[in-house]
Amino acid sequence: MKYLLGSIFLLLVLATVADQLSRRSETSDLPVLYWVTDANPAREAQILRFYDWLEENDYPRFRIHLDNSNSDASKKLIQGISGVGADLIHMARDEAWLLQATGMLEDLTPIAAKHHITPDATWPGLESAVLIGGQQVGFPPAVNAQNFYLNVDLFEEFDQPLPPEQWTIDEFEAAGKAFIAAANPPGERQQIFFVDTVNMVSLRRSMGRSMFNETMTRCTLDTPESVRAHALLYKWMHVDHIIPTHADLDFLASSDTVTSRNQLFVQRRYALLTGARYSLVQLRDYPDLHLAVRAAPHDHFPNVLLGASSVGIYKASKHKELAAYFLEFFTSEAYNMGIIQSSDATPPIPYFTTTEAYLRPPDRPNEWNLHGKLADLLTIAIPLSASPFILPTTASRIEREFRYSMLADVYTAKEAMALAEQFINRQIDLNVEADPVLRAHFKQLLKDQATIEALRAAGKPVPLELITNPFYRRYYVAQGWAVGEGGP
Amino acid sequence: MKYSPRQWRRLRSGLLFLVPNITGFMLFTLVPLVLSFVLAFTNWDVRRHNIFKTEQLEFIGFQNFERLFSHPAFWQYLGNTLFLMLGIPFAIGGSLVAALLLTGEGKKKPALRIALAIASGLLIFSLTTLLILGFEFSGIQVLIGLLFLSILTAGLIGGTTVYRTIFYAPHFTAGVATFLLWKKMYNPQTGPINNALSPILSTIENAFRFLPPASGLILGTLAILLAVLPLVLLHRKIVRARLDAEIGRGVLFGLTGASTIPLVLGWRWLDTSWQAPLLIVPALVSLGWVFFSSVRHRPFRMVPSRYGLMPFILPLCGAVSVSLISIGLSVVAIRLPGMAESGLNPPNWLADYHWAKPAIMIMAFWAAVGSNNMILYIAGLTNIPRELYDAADIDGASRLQRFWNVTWPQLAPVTFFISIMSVIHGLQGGFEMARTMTQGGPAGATTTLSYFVFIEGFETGRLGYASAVVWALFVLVMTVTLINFKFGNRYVND
Repeated sequence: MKYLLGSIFLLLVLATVADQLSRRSETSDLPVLYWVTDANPAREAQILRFYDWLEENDYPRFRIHLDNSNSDASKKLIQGISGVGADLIHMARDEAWLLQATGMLEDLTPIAAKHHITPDATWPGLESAVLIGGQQVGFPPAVNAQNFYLNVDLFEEFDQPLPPEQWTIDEFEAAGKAFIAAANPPGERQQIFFVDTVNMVSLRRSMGRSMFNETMTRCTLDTPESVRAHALLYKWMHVDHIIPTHADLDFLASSDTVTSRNQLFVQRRYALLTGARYSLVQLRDYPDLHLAVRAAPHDHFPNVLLGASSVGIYKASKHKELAAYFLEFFTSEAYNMGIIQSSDATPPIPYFTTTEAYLRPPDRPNEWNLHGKLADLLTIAIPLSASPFILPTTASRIEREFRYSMLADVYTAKEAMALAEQFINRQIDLNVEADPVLRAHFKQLLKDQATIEALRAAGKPVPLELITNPFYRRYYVAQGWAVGEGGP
Repeated sequence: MKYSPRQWRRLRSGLLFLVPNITGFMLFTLVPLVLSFVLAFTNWDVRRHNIFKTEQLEFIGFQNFERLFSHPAFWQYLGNTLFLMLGIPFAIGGSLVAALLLTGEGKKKPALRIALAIASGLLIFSLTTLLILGFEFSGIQVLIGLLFLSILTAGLIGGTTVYRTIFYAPHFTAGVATFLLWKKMYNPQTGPINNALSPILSTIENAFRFLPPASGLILGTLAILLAVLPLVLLHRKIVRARLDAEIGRGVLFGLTGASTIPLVLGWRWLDTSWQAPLLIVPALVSLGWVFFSSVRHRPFRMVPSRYGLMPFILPLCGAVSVSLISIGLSVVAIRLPGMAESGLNPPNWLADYHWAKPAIMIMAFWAAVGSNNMILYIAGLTNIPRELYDAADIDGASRLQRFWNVTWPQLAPVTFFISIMSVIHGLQGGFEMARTMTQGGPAGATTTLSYFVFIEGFETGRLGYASAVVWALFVLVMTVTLINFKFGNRYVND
């Protein structure tokens, strides 16, 4: 037995040596920075372009090593707080708040001006996505405004008029009902739907309501607007059948992923597809597809959801100065033109959406009617309202859970929203109770909220600086209810 | 005690071999275990307590536990966990049946071979006939057909060894891979389960068109009466045990109290004015008889059963399960004509709030039948002395009597061990399934306590609170295990 165990030990030693020797060929004399990011095929090309850009600008040279295997949010969190996080951390919309809360992200405010990565370098409205707790936590490598893609040929085939550029909820519903009636033979199982899904955030906001109040101190889901939005979702799914249910989705495809939804759109199962510019990465594989762009349906306040991931620098990184050059690269022409060509997103620097290369890509004339409209949507795009008192992932999960309960007939829309509000406010109370710093901030904002409500009750304008919810900042200005300076 | 140099050398070698294991256990099990216990009483939140923050960790006593027990979601997830555990008795039964089949207890090997040969021949004949008649097979049907044929052929050639390997396959297949496979199997449209169910449901649908309208009511009424029968039989057993002074009043009340579960649930599920009384009135009469008989009878001296409470708990579980299934069938039978009129569709297994949990249970049952439990039962069966069976044969025992009076009592320690391990796994489990197949949905229907720990620990970052959930779970596991130790039968009747 001891010979056997000794042999195994020897084998392990040899394997370790072989592993080390094989790694030596990958090492470089230059510093190597790790970038934890999604498994996007465009990343390799972006890194090669980055090396050229460093050389052209005579910046210090270093290498970027892609790490796709640790892009899961929980892995970023655990590795980060354990002191072994990647130098550059790519964060999805909801993740930045959690990672910032741990203190593991470097505050970029002092170096932002030097590297031209201040929030005003990118799209207006993104401040709330990159400025968290008064600190700049990252810079967006990509920006997206959610939109609908229309399969124009499908509308023509079923003799249906194309929807208007902006449409109301009633127009959307009427168009949807007419379309599915024309597209599906009576007496057979429905195969074609009007749209894959609708964004509940935009829908609720179009009615003048957000998940949180003006100061984001309380959840406000138990409101007539939120209940109405959810009741509409139920009706569109279960009564009008213009949106597929989970059962319908399973009937059409094996899973409800972005890829499968895109595939179903290409297979003419939907007239409209919810997406953003990144959807074109997959839709471009079907050059015969005749597309058009529309905004989400709205009540009295047209808007779309602004989504942006961001890349931050790990506070314990040994190469923070070098990492800042990588963020600066996102503002460069080389990077933005790469984004334009790959269609990975809308370029993070607005200027590039006015270029010919963006508006009329020479090799894709069939897309000339799309890109301008996608950029236009960014003017009505508002980022997610993320309360500092609850993680967005938690709030979204709770709302989603009760929404599904409503769709599964466990609760009515009213009951589901009342329970979701109760659960979210409970989480807020727990977080505030546990953190003295948060508590002080919360108390101040409660006072501001009381002031806002008193002013509104008196019919007086509200100072914009009192409002922290990005939606209400835009909404109050649009309604003429606010005074003072400030963007969304 | 004095060791010789040789003994010292042997001791040293032994310890050296143990060092890696003990070190690993200390570092990765014992230390985290102790730490998690301490952390359960702290406010550790990774957002505020980590290497980048200076805020001190505070001991907050039992606050995490107070919060936990006042959290409505905790009770929902505990309910989900317990609901999924209802499959454990069936899984144990399935393992036992598999073990009995695989040990070939009481079967002659040539008979098995002949049966396999006939089955293979029938399968080939059926497939060929269908092909000749122009039946078009889909890819999955061909695959399943060939799979069955291969299994039967392998059984003919390799005998029970092949089947033991096949039955044990789920256990050494990676969990995530099997979950993904089941996800495909549950696909409402393309999955083989619904493909198999569709023609059956169509037949039922057509059958109800030709049956009189009252057929659903008749079937429903019969099913309700069937639901009462196991409860009455259970009550009779309890009364007999009381009259024989095997159980005291406490146990009597406990058992009869537990037997009212179907009545409570039946009251909720049965929605017509006559169905619920049809179930509840006879059951209450039976309960009244139990109390009347037991109150009158005061045994002079208790003579507890040597098997503990197991002879009562198992029939209780069986009676409650059969009764609940019958009530469910009754509900289905009564609604079936109406449902058949509008068309019967197979369930949307994983996406339907009401079907998601049963779907997970079915999969867990499949995995449990061919698990270590089956291996343990096989080992237990091979250890039963042949003389006991010979004696039973001489006494003229039937096959059922041989099982009930020889096999089952002899397997008591194995069953006891399997029960405890299954309950522990049941309470701790569900995370991988929920994460891979349903993400805890729909609407939290498949979120178990272990998944709740993950959400609290790694989504919200409250590791202190997550540790409290873990230790609450530990207390639950410990309590159930102690109850099992106290009342379960773990001794063989020599």
